Amino acid sequence: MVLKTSTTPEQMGTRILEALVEFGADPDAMHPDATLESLEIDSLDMFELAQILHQEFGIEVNPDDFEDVATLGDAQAVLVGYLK
Amino acid sequence: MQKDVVTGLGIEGHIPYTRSVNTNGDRADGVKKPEGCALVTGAGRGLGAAIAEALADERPVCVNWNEDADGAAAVVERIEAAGGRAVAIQADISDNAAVEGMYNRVEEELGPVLVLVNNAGVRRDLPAGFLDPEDWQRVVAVNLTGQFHTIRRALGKMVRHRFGRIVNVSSISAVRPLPGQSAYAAAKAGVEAMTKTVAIEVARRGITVNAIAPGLMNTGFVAEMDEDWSAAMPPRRIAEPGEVAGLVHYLVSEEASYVNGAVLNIDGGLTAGLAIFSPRGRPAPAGIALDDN
Repeated sequence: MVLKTSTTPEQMGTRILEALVEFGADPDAMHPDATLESLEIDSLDMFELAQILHQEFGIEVNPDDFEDVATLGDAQAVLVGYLK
Repeated sequence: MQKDVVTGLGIEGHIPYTRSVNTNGDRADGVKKPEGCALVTGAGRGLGAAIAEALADERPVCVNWNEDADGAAAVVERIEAAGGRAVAIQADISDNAAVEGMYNRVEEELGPVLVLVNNAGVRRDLPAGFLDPEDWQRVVAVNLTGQFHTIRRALGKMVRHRFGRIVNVSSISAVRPLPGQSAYAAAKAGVEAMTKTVAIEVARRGITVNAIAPGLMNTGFVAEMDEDWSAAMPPRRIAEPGEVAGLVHYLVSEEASYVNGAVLNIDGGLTAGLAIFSPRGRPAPAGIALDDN
């Protein structure tokens, strides 16, 4: 799959938030400092998010990149970083 | 409109059972059947062929094979003759790239794989002191690592569809091995541990992962044996592949949605009692060639 280079960070950020809500995260609690644990986002959710990003944006997520990710802001930074 | 249907598609020796479905294939209680196809590995003959034919009454089936092209073609022919849809695809499941290629093709032709039955297996039964490391590697690569390859590739689509059924074929050898089965038994024990682990990882996405542990079945392997093992079985007979396929048919159904992480013996009660070494107290024949289930 080829990276869809026309994807903007804003589009991807929006899709990430949509996905997390679909997984059960509280929309009102989603701010950059919120921990994934507080949002009840776990490794299975991250796996599914990786599937979505692969399917819709052509991004191959490397789980090693998430070793130090604790907050939503951390996760978004890593994922949007794939666009660069 | 409802009718009783007999599952399975005329497999010799199959003991059928009936259930109530609508004529469009959906459940009688109105729950829509999830879309997607079934992939059965090692389905060119024996148990895999019986499972592929049994599942074809519910959804399209990919008949995976590695060595038996004619057998796989015959399975497809029988499924299509019975009104089902199937394709035969060759892939050595120990090769992850081959598995990727198989999935790409089956998704293009039949849709996402939402039912996976890991049946393909090889065996090389020799006392550990005689067993070549290459044979050990091959047995583990197909029987254990191969199942990991197919599961890993299937999970993404299953998670997105909020539905999946994975059945891994283990063996009573995982807990009651015969002499000479060090590689085979180790691989099957690994299958059971992997089954339980993945089952608890993905359960909340509507995916179940179970294993079955058959005893002796009337397949090509038994035909090669020079002894009649029937007398050693509590029912005084060995299983027909269709009987085992019936259990798989249940495990992949909607009705089995709460059966997860289980290892189900289907051995006529053999492992319920004392372990039986052989009809005459001798080890099983050694030197069985590499062979699909």
